[in-house]
Amino acid sequence: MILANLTTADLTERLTSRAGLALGIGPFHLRLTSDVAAITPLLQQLYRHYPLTDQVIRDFHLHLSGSALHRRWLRPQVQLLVDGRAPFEPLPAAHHLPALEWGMNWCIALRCNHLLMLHAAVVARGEHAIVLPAWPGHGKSTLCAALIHSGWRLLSDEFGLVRPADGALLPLPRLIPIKNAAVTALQTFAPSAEFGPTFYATRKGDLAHLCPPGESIAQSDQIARPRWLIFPRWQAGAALNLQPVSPTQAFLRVATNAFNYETLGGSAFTLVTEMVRSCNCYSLTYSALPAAVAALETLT
Amino acid sequence: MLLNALRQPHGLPKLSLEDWDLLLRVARRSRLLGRIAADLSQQNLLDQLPPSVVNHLQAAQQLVSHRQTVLSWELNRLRWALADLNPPLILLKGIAYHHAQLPPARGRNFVDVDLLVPPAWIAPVEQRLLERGWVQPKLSRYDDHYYRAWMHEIPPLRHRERDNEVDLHHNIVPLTTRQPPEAALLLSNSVAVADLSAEAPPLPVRILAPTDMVLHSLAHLWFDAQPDEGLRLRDLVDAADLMRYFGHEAEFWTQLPQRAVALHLERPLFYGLRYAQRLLYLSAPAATCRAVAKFAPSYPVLRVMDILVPLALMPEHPDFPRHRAALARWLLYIRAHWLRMPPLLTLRHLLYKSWARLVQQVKPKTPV
Amino acid sequence: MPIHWRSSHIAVLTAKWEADDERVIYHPASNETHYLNPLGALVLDTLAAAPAGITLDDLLQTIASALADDTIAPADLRQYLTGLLARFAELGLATAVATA
Repeated sequence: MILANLTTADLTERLTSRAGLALGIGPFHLRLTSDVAAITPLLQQLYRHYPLTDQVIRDFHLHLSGSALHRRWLRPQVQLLVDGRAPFEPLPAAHHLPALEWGMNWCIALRCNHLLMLHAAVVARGEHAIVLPAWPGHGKSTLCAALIHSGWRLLSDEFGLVRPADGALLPLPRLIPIKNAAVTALQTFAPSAEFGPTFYATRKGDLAHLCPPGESIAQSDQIARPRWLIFPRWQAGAALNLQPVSPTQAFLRVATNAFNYETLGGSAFTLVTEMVRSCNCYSLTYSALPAAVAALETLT
Repeated sequence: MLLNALRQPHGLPKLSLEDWDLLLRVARRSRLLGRIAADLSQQNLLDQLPPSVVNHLQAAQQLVSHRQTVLSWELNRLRWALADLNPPLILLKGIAYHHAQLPPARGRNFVDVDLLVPPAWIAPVEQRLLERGWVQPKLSRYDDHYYRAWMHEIPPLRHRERDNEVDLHHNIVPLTTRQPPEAALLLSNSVAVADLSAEAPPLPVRILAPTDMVLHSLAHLWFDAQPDEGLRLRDLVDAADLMRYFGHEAEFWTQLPQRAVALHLERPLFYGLRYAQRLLYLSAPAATCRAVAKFAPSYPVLRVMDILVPLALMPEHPDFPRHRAALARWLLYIRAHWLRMPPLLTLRHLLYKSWARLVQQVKPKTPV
Repeated sequence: MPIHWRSSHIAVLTAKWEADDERVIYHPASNETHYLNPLGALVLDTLAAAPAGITLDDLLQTIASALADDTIAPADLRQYLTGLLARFAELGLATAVATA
């Protein structure tokens, strides 16, 4: 059963009840409650493919809270509570979905040290995966979004999860936040891409969320193996340039782009070494999405 | 439930999934998830638990072992930098438990390296570390003055390439406490620790004597209350672990009350022993209990503390916070401040801090 | 009493690839990962090959003959190596020992 199977009344009832809405997101189980009514239609649109879960142990307990009555007229805010505490400053009330997404990122980044977490997008065909590690602003999300509308399966856009036991990549398909300027380029490239509303002036600028494909979510339990390491960089007007990267350089770029490389110590070192060994490594400078996707098609 | 988990970890495999879901949340909040994970893995019970629980426990253990490695290395580098200066160096709290392999070290997350040196050594040690790559944050004049005039430590040091805090202490409680212990007493009783690693730098290190170590961890519990976190159950667990471990020697129990008198830490010992017995089922010889009972406050005060302390120590249900627990935490925070400082300073300190907080609100910090 | 340099007796994990002279090492005691350029890698290998330690002069000679590059002035190389050894010592990768 997926979220789309719930009626609006059912969904509202779950979100406002003590039991909450329990969803399976990749390997994690989330319990969400909310007193912000505006989030409900967004969940119905962008979260509709996620399976409802009856797992008793939930990895993250989140509550999205609107302003107290006396504040509603003054400067309405929204706050995300994790286990009853507020680790973040409140955001303007209109930024409810970004608050939820960032809160979830925070939980994953801080708590999931049983896995190596790369800061990378991961897409796959069958079990062969392209890992795309990049700094923010290097066009990783946009390229990832283009690839999943070109026959690649989405494993993750932000957290490349590596299982220490065998180096396998675990899927964690989530909404993909896309900056306003790139939304048009993506809509031209893939008219079927489905976006949520635009949130203006967030701390990451104006952005909209791309709905993760249902098929990718349905295959959340199917691992993949790293096969290509691509370091993307978007540059306005740049000609397409695909260059091999030396293994040492690839190692450094993967390790310095991980959330918890240091926390995992020697095991992270071994995992990244193995990943570099099993991958062909390239840097990719691009400005136009069709050319970049075509270059990766030829490569793979 | 959390107390039961600490007292009897071998019963945890029988816990229902619903209880695990809650236990993970409250243990994480009390900084005791790593401890529970360590107890379970020590008794080889991890594979009897649901996999989703094991993931959380492994993640907590990973974090603890990472912090322990990194901070042990920080100590290694401190000893390397100070070797030819050869100051007496006494390890405190987490780094001491870890270095001397004492029971509270297991699964204990610690965030900084705490060192005690004789007051006269503070300046040369600070100077040497600043020459060898450690740096001190720029503090406001108020904060710098606050540290140096009233506190028992100097502003924290950090190596420019590493992210670990090094706290250099010259006493174990703030100097503004009405009767701080004499640092010389702590130093003269300290004991040497042998090194396990062959590659350790030549500078030897010491730890506090068993009684002093227990009294320090209790002083920390009562003097370091936080307004939102309350008293740290973790600190009481540390002290109970130490008393249980050192208590195998009968001498320890005789010396403990005497040492509390010598160091002016009678009241912290009284409360510490009382709540360790009540909450963590610590057993102590009757003679020690009788001696410590003399340190009790007046009866009405004790009645109030018996209500406040358990409320402030125990984490709450994350979905149903209680107002009276929040009040208890706040009252004990005020009390901790009052213990540390004369009332006039308390007021000034609190006023300055709340003013600073108001100013900060103009530029709210962004999440993450 | 000449100062001898030796690599620390702490095992390191090494990742190197056939085509590369540079490498990455992991130092378990400090949990730090270090990148070594070809010269840095050569110096660490030379230290590791002399468990009893090696003087700066001997190290200089070994490195100079391995590089076989006339364009590097010996004084420059000495200065470079002195700096590198001090850096290794700070990171705990090498130790200076005074021997009789």
